[in-house]
Amino acid sequence: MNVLEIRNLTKKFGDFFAVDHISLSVREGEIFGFLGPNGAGKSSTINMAASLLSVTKGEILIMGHNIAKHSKLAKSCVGLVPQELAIYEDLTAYENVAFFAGLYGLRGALLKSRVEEALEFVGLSDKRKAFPKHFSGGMKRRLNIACAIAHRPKLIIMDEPTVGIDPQSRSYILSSVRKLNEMGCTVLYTSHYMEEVEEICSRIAIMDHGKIIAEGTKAELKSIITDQKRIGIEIGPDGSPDLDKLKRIAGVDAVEQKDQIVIVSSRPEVNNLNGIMQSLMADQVEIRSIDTYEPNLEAVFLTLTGRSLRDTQPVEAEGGRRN
Amino acid sequence: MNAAVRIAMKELLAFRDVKTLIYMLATPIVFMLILGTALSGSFRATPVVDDIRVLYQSESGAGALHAEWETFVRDAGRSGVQFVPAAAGLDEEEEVRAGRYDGFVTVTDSGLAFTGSDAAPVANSVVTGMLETFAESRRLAAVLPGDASTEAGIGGYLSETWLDAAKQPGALDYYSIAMTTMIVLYAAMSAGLLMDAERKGHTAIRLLAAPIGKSSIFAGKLAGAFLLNAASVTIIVLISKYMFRAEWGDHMGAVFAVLLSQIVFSLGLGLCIGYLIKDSASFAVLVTFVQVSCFFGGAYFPVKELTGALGVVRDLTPLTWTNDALLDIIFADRVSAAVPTILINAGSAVFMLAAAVILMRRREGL
Repeated sequence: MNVLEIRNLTKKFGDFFAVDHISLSVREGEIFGFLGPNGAGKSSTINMAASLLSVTKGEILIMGHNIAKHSKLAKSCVGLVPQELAIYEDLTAYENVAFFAGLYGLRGALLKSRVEEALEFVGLSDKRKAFPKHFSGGMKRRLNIACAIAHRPKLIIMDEPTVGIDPQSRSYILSSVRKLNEMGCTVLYTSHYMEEVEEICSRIAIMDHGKIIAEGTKAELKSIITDQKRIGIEIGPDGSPDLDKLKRIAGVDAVEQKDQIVIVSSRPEVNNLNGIMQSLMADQVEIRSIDTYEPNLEAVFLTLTGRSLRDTQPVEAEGGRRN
Repeated sequence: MNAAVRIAMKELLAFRDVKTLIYMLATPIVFMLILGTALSGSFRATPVVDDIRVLYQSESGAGALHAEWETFVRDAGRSGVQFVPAAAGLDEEEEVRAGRYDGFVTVTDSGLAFTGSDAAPVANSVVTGMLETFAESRRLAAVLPGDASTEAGIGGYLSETWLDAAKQPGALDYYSIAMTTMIVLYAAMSAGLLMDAERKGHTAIRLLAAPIGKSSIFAGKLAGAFLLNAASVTIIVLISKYMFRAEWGDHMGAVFAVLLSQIVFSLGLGLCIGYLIKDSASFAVLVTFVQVSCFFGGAYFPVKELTGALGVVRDLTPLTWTNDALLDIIFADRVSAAVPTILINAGSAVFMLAAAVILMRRREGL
């Protein structure tokens, strides 16, 4: 069964298509990753699914309920974890969760037990009477999640839930997402951190310029670029390799340089490593190390769009994880 | 408990915040105490004696007393005390109560009866002194000896009656009203930020994602703000009444009805401007409006003597019509003064709230 079904969805701001006729479905029990750079249309899509934004054209069904026709029914099936911290600083952790859960119709003993359960789930039980202003960024993020799950939604929409937090909290949140999924929640997870999406999502859609440019399992997406091998050569700071000369080497498809890393994509059947090395040495470039890159989602995105997912990111992420 | 009630209850928790408490309670109370004490001298009646005007009615026919009385009236006129014959049908007591005359005298063959106002004690003292001299010199007898409200004058030749003039507010009385209505008008500024706080705190996202309508959010926020301000105003009034002994009159129901209608007006104004003008510009507009209203509406000092354009501004200021109504209810026992004020406040509020709702519905988000 599809928990979320999007049909021909379009969102226009003036003449600009933020979301351009997309269709996708999220099946029950999966963690569906929504990957794309900033401005790709992910947030607009999610905001429409969460009824925060009006739909220009198309349909959204949540658990079979059309959000345009049965808005309250559809909304009651969703738990939203927004990118921003959406909590009241002047309410305690308990009051925050209880207030939002109350808006979903929970009351009395059931409300109390669900609030306790949600706080327990995010590890904030002992902070139930504390005000969020005394919380760390990670604790606030966890409270942000607790506010979205107390009513036990069928679909949890998480919009960049790990932005701006420490690695420990990020790890906690990612394991929470897995746990929620094991408890039966379907999760729509958006991020521009491809490592996160790759780590926890079973199916992924990649979005760019308002369109879905690829969709499938991780293996299916990576298969798009398995017809290439990629090596990264770390060169000395004074090196100035002739990239055009490298591109002319037999079997080389693409060459790019990021700081002191030269990334060469070649056809897998061609053994051209000697030629590449000789070319660099002829340019009197100091070679410090050579790495091969496994195909990853970043590389998929790069291959599909010619651009990287993030404007600035660690070198490893440019071509994939180093071995 | 439905969503609107839940949202309203949540708004009431703002009372836990010390800053909110200081803003809503301590500010008006401290101001009314400071201004009420510091300016108490300005509100005390200063005994300035200008021309004294006294009505009289002579029932002594054409006898000797009448002729002597006329001579006395002429002589008194040269001393700055004008005795004016009362026209037929004139309600002398009302004229004195209203302050148009300092008293009135009834002259009969058997004596003089003087009715004065306790609002003009110096003038009364002068007039009764003159009348006593006149009466004694002519050995007149007192009249109205059996009237409980009448005292026999010196020598029994003159009777005196004192009328209660309209009550006047003292400084503390005035500032208790002015500060209370001022802080109610300040509610417009917090109402202007009511939805903006949800937007800026990103909690609007969760509210909109919940299975409740925008109208429930609006109603809940509005009801919460109303209850918060109503509670605050009640506490302020009770503190000023029982701790500072400020005069709030005998018609507390009418007083609270006016204050509650002003709260609705302020919230409507704030929400309407908040939706009409985007971002912080709306707050700037509200601050300016509130400050101008406070100035011309008499929050800082009584403003009565303005004419021309400034007089129009004064009359159009929400604080003016509210303060005037409260002063009338409390000090002139005119309960009916509440009605037009409540109608203006409530009518304007309905109009502004309707505009805010329409703008909210058109808006993407809250």
